[in-house]
Amino acid sequence: MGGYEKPANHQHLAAIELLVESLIPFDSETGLPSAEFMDFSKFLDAKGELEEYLLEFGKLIEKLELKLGVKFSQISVDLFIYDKDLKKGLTNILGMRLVDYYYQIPQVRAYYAQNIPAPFPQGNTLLALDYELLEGVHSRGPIYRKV
Amino acid sequence: MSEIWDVLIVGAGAGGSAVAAYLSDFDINVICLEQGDFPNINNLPSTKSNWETFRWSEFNPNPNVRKLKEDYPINCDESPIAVANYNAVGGSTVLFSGHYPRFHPSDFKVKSVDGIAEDWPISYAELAPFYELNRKFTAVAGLEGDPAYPEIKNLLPPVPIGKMGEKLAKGFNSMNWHWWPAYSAIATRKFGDHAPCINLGPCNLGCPQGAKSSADVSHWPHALRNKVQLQTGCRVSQVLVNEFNQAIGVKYFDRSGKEREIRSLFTVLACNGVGTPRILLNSKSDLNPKGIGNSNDLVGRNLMLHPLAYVEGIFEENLDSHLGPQGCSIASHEFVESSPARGFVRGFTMQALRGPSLSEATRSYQLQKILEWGNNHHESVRKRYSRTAHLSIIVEDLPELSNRVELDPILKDSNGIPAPKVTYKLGENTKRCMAFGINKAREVLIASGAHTTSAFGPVRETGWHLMGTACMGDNPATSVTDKWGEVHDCENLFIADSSVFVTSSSVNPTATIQALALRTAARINERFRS
Repeated sequence: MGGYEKPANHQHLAAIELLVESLIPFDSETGLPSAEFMDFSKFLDAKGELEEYLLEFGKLIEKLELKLGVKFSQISVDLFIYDKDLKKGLTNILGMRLVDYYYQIPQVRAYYAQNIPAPFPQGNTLLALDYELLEGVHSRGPIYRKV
Repeated sequence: MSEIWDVLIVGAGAGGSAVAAYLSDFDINVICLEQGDFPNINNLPSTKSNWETFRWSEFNPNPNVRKLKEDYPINCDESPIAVANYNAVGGSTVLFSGHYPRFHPSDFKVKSVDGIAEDWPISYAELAPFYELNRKFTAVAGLEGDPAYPEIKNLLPPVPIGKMGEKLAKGFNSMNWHWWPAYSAIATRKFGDHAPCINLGPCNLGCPQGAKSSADVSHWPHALRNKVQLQTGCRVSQVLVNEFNQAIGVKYFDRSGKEREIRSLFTVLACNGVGTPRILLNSKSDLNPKGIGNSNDLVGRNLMLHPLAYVEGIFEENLDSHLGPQGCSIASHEFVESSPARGFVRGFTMQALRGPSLSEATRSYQLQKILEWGNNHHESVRKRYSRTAHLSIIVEDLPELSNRVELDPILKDSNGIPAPKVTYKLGENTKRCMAFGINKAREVLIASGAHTTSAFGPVRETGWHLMGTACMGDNPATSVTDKWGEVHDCENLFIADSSVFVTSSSVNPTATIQALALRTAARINERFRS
């Protein structure tokens, strides 16, 4: 096909932006935000992985063009999003990193009650042992073999 | 190079630290070479806002992912389980979860009681005083009266079991199965150089509080106060011998990459069940054409890895299962001993695991392909996260000659030393035991109130327990070391790590590694004085 030696053009970026948001959309029930492409791309860029991911994305577009027999510029972005095979392919490529990025967002972590910013030095208060629960276990007597 | 040390220890992890701490109480000149550095507990991941992300980079348990300068590559292409380790002062205990049970009496006598593998040349009763002695250094929390063991006394208070632990405990009770608060190498109150634990949680990213008895906290402060010399950034390539095939020191690369030699009366290898056979196999000479200690071709063989399965149960209610010390809540030893009706010998333990953290959990959902995308994404996370109870199944692995560590013919580390290559398959007995264990874990999770269970195993990134690759025994034809850890073929060379294990038990090995190492140190002290 050619034409995709460069990782992506603005149309690809527009598509991936919509896809990222469609994979993790805004949750009206809890107010949890959608995954924002701009922040996600910064996250990838900081890891030095943005170009690699966009390159993979470009390969997917090549597949789509082959499948539909038209140039990407002639296809609606919506079609790309709702093409199950391609969406699955993109999820496989982006999924793990998207999770890594999204579940570091303070608002998301706050919702799931993770310590912010870090476990240290706050610590956690935990339910202590109720010793009565062990009475039956102890009354059985030794379970190890005496050798 | 003119100096000759009394004792040279290679490796500053669980075993090497115990040898150093013990010998430091005597008038013996001890030096330890360690390829890593001292962990900076003020800079561990749990002190940072993005603490979880370090698990996927420099604090990943897999050295092939971590790729730090102190790491060496390990070829695990021919193993379903990848080797996990950490190269630093404290070794893999820096990242261990602190689960710290002893082996059971029958674990030392499997041939006598079950007719398989070999008996150890020592018994539980012989090792028990060294389990006790180790508590001088290691903070061991737990609860007396456990029916799974002979009497164990003077433990620190147990780590709080949490809501998830209590839920599971009730489930175990309904099955009339054994459970007990976990034995934990965690200071639940002030102990020696340890701070009291405040239940931070991710022990397996290092403990920034200094409450976990990783060897850099438990043993090294004592050894260093007593003037043991610790040289970091030193990678040992081979053991040196004289014309009588007695160990006389090692050859190593210093931090700058310069090759050096160091001499000693006694040499102790404590580099774990992969690193130690690697050095032995790389120590080839005219006297030892197959490597040191390897005249019977047993060095590197009988590798045991404790194949692990995870079984998870999802509950309607919030269990706060992401909170608290990750590996230490409750454990069940109900299925440790053999029962003929089960179709396999030996057994497994079930260990309740807290966590994982939010990032780790959602990654796991993605890997298991249970994470939904699109409009159902949030609900698919919400219904699982902190509502999931986790049980790990730790299977007693049996020694098999074909499971082994060799030198890779191509792969080398940054100093040009051949890398280890691991070849490992799960034995039939192990597979049956794991399948049985998964079913039992599902049963107890459902009895505890789980509405859905899932299981997967063996889990690849769990090869922490590296055992059996230089096994001890009374017969030099069928073992690598004697019952003190001294290599049969090479006088004055000792091994003080889990390489010497004859069989693997179904519990975590660190307490036994350190008890054996102290016993080996006591033997070296006797030998030194004689």
